[in-house]
Amino acid sequence: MSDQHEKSAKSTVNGAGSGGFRQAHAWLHTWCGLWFSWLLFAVFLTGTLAVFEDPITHWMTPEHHAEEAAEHSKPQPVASLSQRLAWGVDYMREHHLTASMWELWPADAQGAGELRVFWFDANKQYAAAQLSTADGKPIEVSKAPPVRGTQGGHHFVTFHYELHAGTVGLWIVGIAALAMLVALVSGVITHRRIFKDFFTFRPRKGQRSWLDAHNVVAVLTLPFQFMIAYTGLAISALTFMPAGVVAHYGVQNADRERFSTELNEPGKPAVSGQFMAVPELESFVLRGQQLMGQPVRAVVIDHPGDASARIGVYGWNDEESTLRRIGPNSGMAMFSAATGEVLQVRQPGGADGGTATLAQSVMGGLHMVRFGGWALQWLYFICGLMGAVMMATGAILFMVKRRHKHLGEFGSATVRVYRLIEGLNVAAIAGLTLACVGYLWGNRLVPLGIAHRGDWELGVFFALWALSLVHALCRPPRSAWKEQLAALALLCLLLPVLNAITTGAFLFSQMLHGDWESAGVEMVVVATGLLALAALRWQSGLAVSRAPATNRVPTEVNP
Amino acid sequence: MNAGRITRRAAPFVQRLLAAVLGGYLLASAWVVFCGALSTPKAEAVLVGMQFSFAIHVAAAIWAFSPVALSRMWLGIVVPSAMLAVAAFVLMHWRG
Repeated sequence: MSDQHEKSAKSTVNGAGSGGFRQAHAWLHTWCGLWFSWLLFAVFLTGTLAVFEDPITHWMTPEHHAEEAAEHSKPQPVASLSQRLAWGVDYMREHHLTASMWELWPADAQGAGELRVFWFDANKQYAAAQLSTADGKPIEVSKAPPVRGTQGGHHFVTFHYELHAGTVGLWIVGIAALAMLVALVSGVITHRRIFKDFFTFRPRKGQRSWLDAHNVVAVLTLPFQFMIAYTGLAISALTFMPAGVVAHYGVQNADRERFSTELNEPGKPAVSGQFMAVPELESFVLRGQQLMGQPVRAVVIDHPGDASARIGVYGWNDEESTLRRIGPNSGMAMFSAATGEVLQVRQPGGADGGTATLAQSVMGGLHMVRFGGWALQWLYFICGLMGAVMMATGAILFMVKRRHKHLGEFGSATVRVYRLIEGLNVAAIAGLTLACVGYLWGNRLVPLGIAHRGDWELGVFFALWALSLVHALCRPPRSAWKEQLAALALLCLLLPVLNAITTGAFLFSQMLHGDWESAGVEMVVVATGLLALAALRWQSGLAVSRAPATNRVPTEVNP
Repeated sequence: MNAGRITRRAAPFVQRLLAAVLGGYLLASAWVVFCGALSTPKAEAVLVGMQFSFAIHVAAAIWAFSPVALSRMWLGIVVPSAMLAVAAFVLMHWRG
């Protein structure tokens, strides 16, 4: 990040902990940043797209558009709240009397909508049924898979925190997030002129411009980058830092359950073994609604049929409440079923338990941006992209520096390692962006109705990414950048055409119908295509105007 | 460059890497256990410990790659870890 950077990066291993304080951390920043930049770029780009999970899912399920529109206008058969609650309890009594937990979702926030019931079955698995709002009888919900099986935008959510690889993936991303924090701290230490550089951008100066770009995006969004990495780790703290729970509670699943019960529900009663019928629920619900100030969303009964039973009434967060409150929890009121006594009340936005639990819930809310509405989602989107640009410019800067002057960090293997890094840069930055747009193409081109269709779409994503890596390693770096940028531009700019051909919906007609979610997805993709095109032209211009071309590569990474 | 020379050159780096990754994790873990032993309610205290533990691991990693002698670097990781662990042990047994 400074001039010391160059000197201190002399060797992969020799620079560790040597030189002055700043020099040692310049070394750490360079190498820790480099080895994690590719993975972190992928996490940041997909995490940024995950902000718009719902619009992407909406675009990817065009069959549902008409259905969704119809649902809004369809008059619902409305049964009263007390009728719905009674039907729910009747059904559970008749069919799932011995379940250890009942959960009723009587209605939407307006008192209309569907009536659903949930319970723990004999294997302690969550099970569900839907009841008719006309007569309270169970409705046979169609088990047939939807026409267009897809993970939709949720793919980006899952990928960005566990790479579709379960716990192993979660750990890999967690380690990368910690490495990112180390790289951020060492970057700040290295950066002696943090405020001056904040206002410095020297375009068309080769290596300098890359450094300036890297500094500007990093400094500008530094608080966001710290926050998003730290809250990401904290959300999964129980997985990453089990030592405390192990030492104080034990290693068994039951011990972990004991920990979370103590944390969230300190007064949870034990089963008494004495029979007591589940009381009529309406009075509890009405009192609960009054205590928390929200319409009822769910009624949860622990130990139904036992004298120790508890009745929890949970509320619906309305739009205004999610705009203002960072804590994502709704309100809740908990009663003893036997005495009707209030056991626990949680106000909307609060948390069960103490300050630490509230902090935990706020950190989750901060990371997932469920508050603040569209304005904040766009802010996260832009900051997330800046994070991705920070990774990309850092990785490219590493190579731009070394194209003129070999630093010989890897001894006799240096040339080969540089070649590998160049290839990884292309595949991680251009290739992954290509794969993300390719995923949308896959959604329109994979035949409808085939088995495991959602997995085929994922297959398109991973296959394109793997292909881009092979391509990047086979072609000279400059050609690899150009060809992948060209492919990216092509896929992006043609996506609205593909959509019009396959679904008959044109971008402009989406706007006319007020379908801004679909139109927004396509406009962002088209903007990405235009930026990729501009990057391509800029690079070609450089190649013509300067010989030998220095192979400067644009960092354009918009999805 | 023979294998012996590479090993000699890489040894300090490997030590610092181990200190940052494993040492830092152990220090952070000892901190969480200590938090749980120190304060009540226990579950809340453990959660607070976990929430701060990542900052501690990052600080340890930054320390591990700072330009201080290897022996001092190790002391800076091992001593606080041991102190936290012993304090946690004593507190847990003293409180019962």
